[in-house]
Amino acid sequence: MDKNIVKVQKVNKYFSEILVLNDVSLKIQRSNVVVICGPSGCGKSTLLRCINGLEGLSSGDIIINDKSILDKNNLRAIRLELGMVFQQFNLFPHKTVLENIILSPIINIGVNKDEAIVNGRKLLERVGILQKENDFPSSLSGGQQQRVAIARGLAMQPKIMMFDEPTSALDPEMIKEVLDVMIELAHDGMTMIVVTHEMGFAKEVADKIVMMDEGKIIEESEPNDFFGNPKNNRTKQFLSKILN
Amino acid sequence: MDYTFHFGVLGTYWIWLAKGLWITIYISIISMFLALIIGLIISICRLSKIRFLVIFSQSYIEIFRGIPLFVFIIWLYYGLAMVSGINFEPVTAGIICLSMQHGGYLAEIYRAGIQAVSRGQWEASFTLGFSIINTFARIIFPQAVKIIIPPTANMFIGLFKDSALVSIIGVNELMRQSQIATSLTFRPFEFYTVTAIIYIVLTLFLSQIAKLLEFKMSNK
Ligand SMILES: Nc1ncnc2c1ncn2[C@@H]1O[C@H](COP(=O)(O)OP(=O)(O)O)[C@@H](O)[C@H]1O
Ligand SMILES: [Mg+2]
Repeated sequence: MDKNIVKVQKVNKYFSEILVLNDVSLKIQRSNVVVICGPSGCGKSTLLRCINGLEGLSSGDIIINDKSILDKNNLRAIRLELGMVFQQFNLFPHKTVLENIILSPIINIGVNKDEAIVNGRKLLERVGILQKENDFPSSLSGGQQQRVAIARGLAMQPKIMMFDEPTSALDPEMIKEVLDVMIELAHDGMTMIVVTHEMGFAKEVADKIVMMDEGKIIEESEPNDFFGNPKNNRTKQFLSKILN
Repeated sequence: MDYTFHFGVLGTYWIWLAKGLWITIYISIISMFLALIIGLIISICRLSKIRFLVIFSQSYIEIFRGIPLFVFIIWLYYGLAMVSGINFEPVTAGIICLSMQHGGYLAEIYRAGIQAVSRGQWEASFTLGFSIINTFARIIFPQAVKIIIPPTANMFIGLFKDSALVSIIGVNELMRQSQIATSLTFRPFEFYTVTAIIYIVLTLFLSQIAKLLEFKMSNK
């Protein structure tokens, strides 16, 4: 078994004429947490969306758990192994909290309903909102919705969880409750790819920090080096901007 | 004016109108049901990424929204029958025309409703491993329905009123029954007044239901 569960290999991605990912290569080991940062519009979301096949590649390849994303037959299997949490939560508004969580395991993995409910409640307890199981998402705060979204992803028992700026749409007082859930997940050994500018989170749990700029990975290092001794000038500028 | 009103004829002929009303309701409901299915299929084609289906659905919508129902009914019943040898029963011809035209209207209503559901919903659903069909049926459409129902109810009112046009090919619905009764009694004012009132009352009733649905949907 390859120790790298995700391998992004020389990926280019164009939107019409514009090169949004420029020769991006990245390896992620099992149980590692990789934080991706970089200025708005540099291609972070596009990279995550390429990894789970929401966007096609213009060239290059992505291998998830030994399966190439280029083979259309792998797409579903890859998505079942990859959870994703979005900035805008994207909970299903016509379903209750518990239904949001159990629907996919029932339909897409064939888990029986009772088992899905038991498991769903465990997850809700883990993210601290069991008492809201029968509420609709619209009645929850942003932080609560995002925790439900994390539970919904976890209900699929994914091998990898991706987060695309999970706290950017939240009021400041709710950021911590979401980060705490993510930190716990990291300590439990989940492989995580996290796009975030929460540098405290990165310091605490990241094995690797990746800095992107204009579609390129310009720096890739361990947190100590990244914060203590950034090599790239752009990284220095970026850090001084967001750390103040 | 030396016309003496004589609504008494209704005492003898009300049963004719009642039968006609029954046919009107029957045609409207069947046509609506078919229009719902046609509209769904056409709107899905319209939103698909398959070029042929997009062109097909666009053409469908333009043609069947563009043709006056009156012309369509006569074309299908007299014109098409002549060249193709297919002779539809008048009721069948009427239902085909009503449902195909209103299916075109509905396709646009559906499309607007489906497009109003955010892209994030599709993406979240795909990410969880749902197929495109399950995504549509379980995630997108149930949300779109809320947006779709009020205009659909209003469209049904239009269809109900349009159904009077099928009298021209001899379907014995409300309008035609009252024409026949008129020709037997020479009482056009009485029959057409009552007929108009029946349409108005039922339309009012239906629009109350539409309003109620609209209210319910906006509070959900
Ligand atoms: N679907 C799309 N069509 C065209 N351009 C897009 C699309 N999605 C993203 N882009 C462009 O690609 C670039 C990278 O976007 P994105 O990956 O969202 O950046 P980030 O997440 O780092 O802010 C931006 O310039 C954005 O405008
Ligand atoms: Mg982004």
